[in-house]
Amino acid sequence: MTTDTQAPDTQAAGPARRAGVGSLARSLLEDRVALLVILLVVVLVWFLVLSAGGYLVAPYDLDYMASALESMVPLAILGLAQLLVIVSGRGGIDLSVGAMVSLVGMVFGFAYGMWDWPFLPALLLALAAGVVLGAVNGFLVAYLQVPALIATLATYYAYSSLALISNDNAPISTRPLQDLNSITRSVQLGGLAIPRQVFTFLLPVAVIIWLLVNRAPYGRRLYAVGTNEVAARYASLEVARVRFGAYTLSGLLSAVVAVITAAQFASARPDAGTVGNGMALPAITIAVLGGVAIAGGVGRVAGVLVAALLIVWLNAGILLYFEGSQGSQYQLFALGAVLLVSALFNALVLRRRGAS
Amino acid sequence: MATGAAPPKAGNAVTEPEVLLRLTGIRKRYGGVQALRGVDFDVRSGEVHALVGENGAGKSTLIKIISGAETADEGTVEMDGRRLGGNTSAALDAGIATVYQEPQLFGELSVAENIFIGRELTRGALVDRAAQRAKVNELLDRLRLDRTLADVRVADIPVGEQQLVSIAKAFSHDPKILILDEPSAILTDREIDTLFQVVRGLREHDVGIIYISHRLDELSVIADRVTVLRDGEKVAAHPMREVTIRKIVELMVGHVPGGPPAGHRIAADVEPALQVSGLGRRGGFHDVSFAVRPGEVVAVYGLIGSGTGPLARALYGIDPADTGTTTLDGRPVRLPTPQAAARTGIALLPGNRKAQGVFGIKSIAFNISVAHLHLLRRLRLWVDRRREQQVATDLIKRIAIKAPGPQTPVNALSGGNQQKVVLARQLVERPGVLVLEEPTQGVDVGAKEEIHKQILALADQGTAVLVVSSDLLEVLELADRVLVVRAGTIVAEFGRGASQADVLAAAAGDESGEGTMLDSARAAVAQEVDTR
Amino acid sequence: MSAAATTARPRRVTARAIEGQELVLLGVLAVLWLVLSFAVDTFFTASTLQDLMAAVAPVAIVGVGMTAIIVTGGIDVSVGSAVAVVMVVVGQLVRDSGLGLLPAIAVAVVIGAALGLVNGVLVAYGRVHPIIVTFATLNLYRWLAFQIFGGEEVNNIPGTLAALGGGAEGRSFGVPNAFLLAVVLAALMWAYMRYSPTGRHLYAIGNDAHAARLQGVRVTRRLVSVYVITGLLVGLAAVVYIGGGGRIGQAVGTGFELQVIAAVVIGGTSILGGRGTVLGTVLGALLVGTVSAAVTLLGWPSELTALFIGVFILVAVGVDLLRQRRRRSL
Repeated sequence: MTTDTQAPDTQAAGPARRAGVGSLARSLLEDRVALLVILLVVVLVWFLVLSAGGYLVAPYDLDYMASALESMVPLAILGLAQLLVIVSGRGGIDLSVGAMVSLVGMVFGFAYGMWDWPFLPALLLALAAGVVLGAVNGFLVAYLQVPALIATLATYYAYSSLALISNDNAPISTRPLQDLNSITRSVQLGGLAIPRQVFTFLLPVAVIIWLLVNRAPYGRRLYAVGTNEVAARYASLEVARVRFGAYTLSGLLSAVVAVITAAQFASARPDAGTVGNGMALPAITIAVLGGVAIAGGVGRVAGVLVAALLIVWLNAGILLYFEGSQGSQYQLFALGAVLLVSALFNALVLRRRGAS
Repeated sequence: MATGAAPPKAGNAVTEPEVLLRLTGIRKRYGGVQALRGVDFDVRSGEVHALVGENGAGKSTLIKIISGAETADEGTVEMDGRRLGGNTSAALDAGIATVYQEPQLFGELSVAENIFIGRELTRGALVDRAAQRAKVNELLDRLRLDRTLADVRVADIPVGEQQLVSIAKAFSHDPKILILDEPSAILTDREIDTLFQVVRGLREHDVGIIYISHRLDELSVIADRVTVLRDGEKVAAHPMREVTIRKIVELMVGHVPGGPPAGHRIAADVEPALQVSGLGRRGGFHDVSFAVRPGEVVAVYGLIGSGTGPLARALYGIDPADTGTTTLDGRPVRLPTPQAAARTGIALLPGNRKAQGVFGIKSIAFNISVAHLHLLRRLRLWVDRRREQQVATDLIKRIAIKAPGPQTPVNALSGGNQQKVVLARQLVERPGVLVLEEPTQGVDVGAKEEIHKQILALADQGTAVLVVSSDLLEVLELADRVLVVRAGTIVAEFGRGASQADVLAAAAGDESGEGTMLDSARAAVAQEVDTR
Repeated sequence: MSAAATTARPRRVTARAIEGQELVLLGVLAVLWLVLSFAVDTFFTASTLQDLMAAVAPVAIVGVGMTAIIVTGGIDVSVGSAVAVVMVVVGQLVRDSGLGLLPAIAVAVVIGAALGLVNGVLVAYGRVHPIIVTFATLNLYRWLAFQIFGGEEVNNIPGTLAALGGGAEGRSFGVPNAFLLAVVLAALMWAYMRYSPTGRHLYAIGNDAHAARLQGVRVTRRLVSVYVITGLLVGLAAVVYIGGGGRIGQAVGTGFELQVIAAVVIGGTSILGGRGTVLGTVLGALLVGTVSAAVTLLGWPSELTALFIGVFILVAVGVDLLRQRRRRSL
């Protein structure tokens, strides 16, 4: 078009007429977290009703919900990792988180379980390993400009195979690791047995990530780069470095999950993060459900956390509803259905927002 | 495919060629601006009708209405005597084709495939490549283009040739009206010659051509008629032979405010803040040397494709220069990245706010602070939000950004206010050097004035300001000195009080003379300037 | 603009039969085979090569469809679960209802196509990113497979489908039928993407789907078709797997999609869309298969296969990016 490419002073886009319920509905659509909380409540009520009516194999009560939090911790943390990576833009995604969990788990297993390192140094080693693995991803994606899907696919292959080779396909279940299980035992709080790692790992990580994203300069840069990479460059932001950081952080968070998982299962398993369909898929599901936009630049920590809760308690309920192995199968169904519905919903909202 | 059944019309037919397209009384309002105020426009068969005007004069709005991308608020569009509906498919069906500045081709497919996309010639279920190639060759011949292009992959062709392919493609749809939007902007001189051959070929086939261009010297070679728009009105329409370039320029620019606004000091004679010498970048510009003193406003003026954009980007480190030196406050500096530029105290207002400037979904405060996070840090760990809000609120007030508050998302603001936000980002710390690229493009008159006021105020405070702009009025209003760029280098310098006509002529004229068809026209232009 | 005229430009004929990257791949494959035939006596024997081709066949077959999908800028990670669904259905039918070879193929193809249709419709009409859609269907189809499995493996399948398996009955002139099938399918797809208008449209969609739509390309129709075709090919791959004999465990197909995507990417198709050919995919599949066979024959831990595949993917992408960059500076 001619040089006056930018239409002069288009009308200010914004919410149309405000009218009671209509505007409430619209703001709910816009506020993903509020919507998720409502869905969460719906799910809980649903299962509580079913439980009261005796339809479930075991009671769906607060005790059960508290114990289910055990699986929420790794998922939520990996979901936050995906948040960082997807927000960084340019098709950002990390398929290798599960493989990193496996590999770092083995590293930790060797250090703590075989070489008799004390806990703290072993932990630091694990975190360092996670940083290195994540940095490889970051280097490929941010500096070599390899599309994230392919780069993390390749590292998924590489890391998972290294994890398997490291101990000849065998888990490390030595005494120290078995004892480590204690850090994942429950803690009594208000009559409920809540897994310890919720407080010792999840809460601190969530708070730190929240602060990083919302209060720290890095968080600003991350969202700027994901929103408009060119403008970020013009605003003198170092785009590559910011993206590199996101993937490195993803590695770091995967390392945290690796340690938790090793403690939880009292052993370092070479397929900890890659068994079945792996941990990457649920993590990405949680991120998308939590409102993270695939295009980048959009996503809230609260959304990811509530989405994780939703998935976990939904899955927990499904386990009680169906008999035998049917339960875990229907969890697959739920995961797929939830992902699809939330993505279709995302697309709808985006189209509506773009049209206004 | 165009069949060319009718023989080319003789130059002066007894009867006038028929009118194909007629616009009457077109009015269009865009947001707060009246873009078109009752414009009449018509195109005859077999004529090249040039449409000229400054930025914001309404050319692109008019074109959008013709091509159906926009609907007029009032007025009629008639094609072959029938009214046109206001959508693109109606326009296409009626035979109106548009070729935009950026060729919209598929890089991985061949030229022939691109031309036939969506309506391939088939033999059975397969593409009949031979037939397509033959047709394309015929087409290329008729347009006097290189015949061997048919099977070449588009991505392997230089951008200028791709543009010509775009034109060939539009022609293959048998249009009655062809709109060429700044067709020569990205072409080399040789390619421009080819372009003119193509346009002549089109004319011989009775196609009515709307030719939009800033390059007035070209128009005298290729156009039959010219319509001048100014501020949304048609101020003149003349046969090309009845009017001089000089006259066109005067019609385009109209009145000019006299002298610098009150209160603006002319810079004292001090050491230049920014000095470049022999600056060049392959494919962009060469041998550029100038100096800007603190408190001075220097404008770099040039038409699209003259090299002004690459120059601005080199100064800011986006596309750094290959040769030459840059000196800041006497110190030589290298500017390989925007971070380096920012560190040395150069600020940039990018030329395209949507693509390069704003983070649309983010708040005003975010947009302002994003380049200054190191300033707002407390204990290096977190952003001081209160200070951020304060800074944003102050700036909103200072440059009169019309917005509910600092938390408003920027894409809810009008174009002018968005531009102000991007400008505000540069004003958080008073920069030593501020380079502005097209600072008021697509901005309403009120915001434009305010932005100009800010620029001058900044200069008063001692900033060395470099305005890179293709808006002639703006350039003349702001600048203490005007550097005219053409063909990648500075060809003229004017002080305050220069006439628009002189500046425009310098930008549209040419000194280089290079055995092309434009020479006679350019010589004429130069002569006109001389005999003022 | 510079006054200098452009001089001779490199003229490249459009869509050559064999692109540069494929030649390189062919070279790498040849070298690898050469080295292996020296390193391991048993490599260059009929049985090893036959096993290799039989193992590669399903990946190559689905890879043909995946190439088309990736050229349009999409992706499909649900093929592994889809293969499981088809395998369990057809396996049970062959065992319990005595389905013959041709009817079994028909059933497999229809089911596969239906599964692909779901993907295609969601991508084309739902406007959801293909990775998300196919992540979701990956789960949903896996659930479906479990439901049909009913909690047990499928055993004792008669050798009705052996004609497409890897065994002795499944060969013609010493080459496994399944591999021949893969080659034929690849040839068909190659011709389609090179000579058919709608096939060429796939590249346009990958380049710029929006512009393509504006110029008369039936984008939604093309998108749906590539996913359906891939589903169809998944059905064929399932038949090949069943024909190879053995039990059908509940975890069947896990990781299959990654092998296919690896083959396509190594074969030179760009994940960004708009470029790529099936010839490269077949070579890529052979390369992946060769690496896997080599690792086994050399007595290395089988997990190393994944490592090598990861490295190969990176190398292939790196080379592709370099070529892109060099081309852009034209």
